[in-house]
Amino acid sequence: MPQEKNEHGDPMEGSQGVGSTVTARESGHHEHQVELSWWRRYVFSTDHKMIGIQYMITALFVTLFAFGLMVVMRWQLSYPGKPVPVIGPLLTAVFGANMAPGGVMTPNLYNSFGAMHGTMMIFMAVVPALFAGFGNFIVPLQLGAPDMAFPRLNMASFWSYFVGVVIMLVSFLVPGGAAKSGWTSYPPLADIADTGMGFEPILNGQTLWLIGMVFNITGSLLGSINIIATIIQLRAPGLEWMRLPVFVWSELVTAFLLLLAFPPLESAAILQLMDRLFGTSFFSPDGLVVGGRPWPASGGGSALLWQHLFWFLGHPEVYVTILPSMGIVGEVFANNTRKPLWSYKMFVYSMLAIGFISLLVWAHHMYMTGMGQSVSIFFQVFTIMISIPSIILGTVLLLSLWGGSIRFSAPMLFALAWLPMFGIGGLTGLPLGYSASDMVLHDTYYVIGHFHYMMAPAALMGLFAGMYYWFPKATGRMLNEFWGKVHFWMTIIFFNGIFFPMLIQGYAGVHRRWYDGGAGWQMAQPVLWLNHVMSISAWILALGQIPFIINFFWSIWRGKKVESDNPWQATTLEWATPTPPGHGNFLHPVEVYRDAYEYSVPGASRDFLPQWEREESRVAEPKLSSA
Amino acid sequence: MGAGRKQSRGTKTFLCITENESRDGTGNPVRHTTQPDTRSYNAKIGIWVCLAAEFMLFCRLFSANIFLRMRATH
Repeated sequence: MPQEKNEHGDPMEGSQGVGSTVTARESGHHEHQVELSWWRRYVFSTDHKMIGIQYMITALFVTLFAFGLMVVMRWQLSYPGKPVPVIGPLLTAVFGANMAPGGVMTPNLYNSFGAMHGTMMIFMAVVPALFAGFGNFIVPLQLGAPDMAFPRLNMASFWSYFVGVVIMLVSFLVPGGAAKSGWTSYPPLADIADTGMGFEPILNGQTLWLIGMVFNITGSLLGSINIIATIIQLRAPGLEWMRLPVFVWSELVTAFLLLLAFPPLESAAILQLMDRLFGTSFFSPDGLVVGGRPWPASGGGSALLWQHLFWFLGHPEVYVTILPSMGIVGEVFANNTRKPLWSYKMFVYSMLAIGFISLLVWAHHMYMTGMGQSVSIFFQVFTIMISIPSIILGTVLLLSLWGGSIRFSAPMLFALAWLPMFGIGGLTGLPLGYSASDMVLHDTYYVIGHFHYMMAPAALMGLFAGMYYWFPKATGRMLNEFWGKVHFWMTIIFFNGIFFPMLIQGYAGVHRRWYDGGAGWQMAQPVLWLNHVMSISAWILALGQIPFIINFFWSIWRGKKVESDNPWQATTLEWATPTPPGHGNFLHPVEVYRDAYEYSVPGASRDFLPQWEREESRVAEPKLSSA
Repeated sequence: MGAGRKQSRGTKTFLCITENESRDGTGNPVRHTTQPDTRSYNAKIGIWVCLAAEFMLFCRLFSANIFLRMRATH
């Protein structure tokens, strides 16, 4: 075979070009590559794919751990005051007889598990998996780039996040246990928590929470800078903005949200750290009395200031979790309906609108703080306004199904289930967006049910859809379809078994922070039985993840091998790489000739036209029946 | 870790370098020259984006301080 040359006349070291159907392993090219040690390739790697995998593995571990915390809490809610079966002795051994006497959860341990479940799930599991895990692995591939714009910064981002995770995990083992002031760490409670007798000045739960968050936020900022610069700078020739895959758009919007919303929380965490360590009183108000004695801090601080700084991140964080998930679902929908997304541009503009408006709605979490009516109206208007682009997004996906030739593959099942979960999560948010109805529902289980529908079923449906969809590109093997479907049905049924009863309990007035699940409250009695439904659902949901975990590890080594680099017959650039892609990704420079989702183009010989293929052999154009 | 082992596996070792990209000594493919459609280079974009984050960070720190000073009673 004659040696091919690129447009500059340089010989290319392989004639299996972009989009070939020969896998990396078979092609056997080894070009001029700097040899890296094992540590540099797998641990301190600067390759975006390895960093993506590191993010994903760490985040999945944290997800499992934080889910485990909740599984234990659900026992306490269903059977308050009874020893936790199986792991009760372990709780006593690890946390001591003060925190778990005889295997029974104390209120302190319950609060600690609750706060850390929220913190770790949101900041260290779902966002790192969706934004950083998929973002690192997929975005440069979809852009046709050899790596991220700043590979070393990318590594720093992961290790900063990793240190944050380690600090959070270590905080469980310090005297007094991990942080227990809720995932929101509201002062003045958080200012005074874990201080005094029996607590270390720095090695205590709340202080470690703050330090861990500063590391985590720093990692997120580095990651978002990198994603933004990569998307702006490293698009392949011909990859215009309106040809970008929707997942890339979702990552861009998410990165901007993280970039602009995380720094205020970082500043707030630093201020709270100063309150705790150096005796300042940014968040400690005048006249604060703790345990019958005036708090020694000077006063003059504002607890509400923390809430503003926290929720300025806290609300965009919801969209940080859901937008990448939305982007993944868009990719999977287009591929599995075998038709372009219905109104790609509306999808993109809606994501941009959501990103922008989400920065203007934070105080709807604070209607109960006594804000003035005009301020309240401002935040109500923008909160309700954000439902418009959200509904457009749902509509785009729904209409994309119309007339499609749908493949009910495992990733598509998860993506399809994303739609109703997103719908329930969004619609249940409307009563919370109006201050009048929020007054009634505030701090009830209704709120818990609402935001979990967004952050658990919806976000994780997208996560699983992405895992099943891109697993073959990362490993060269497919995940097992049958066990994927078992995993899907177990997940979707029992997710709803957990979260829908929360909405009912919330309407009945069950408070979100009751340690006994409502057993000691007269008005909660009619809905107490739902605690058992939720707890049993949570435990079965945990069992339902076992097929996925086994499938994941089994398929890495024993799964069915892919027969081409493009096993899903997709159109976007990540499928133009060898499988799995090497460091540098593409065998030769890649160019883009068409939009992202050219499926079922009339007259084309195949039902997909990849972005990277210059020419398509066409059959005769079909004539209009009326012609 | 030697080259022989790596080459014998015949995987994860190939890449391409276009006229805009080179290696920085650690195996990272990097782009030095200006991207045609943005007329900018990576570091310039990166530092402006980083400045946006820093702006938000210090704005919040200063505004928090000003807010507290303004309502201070003593």
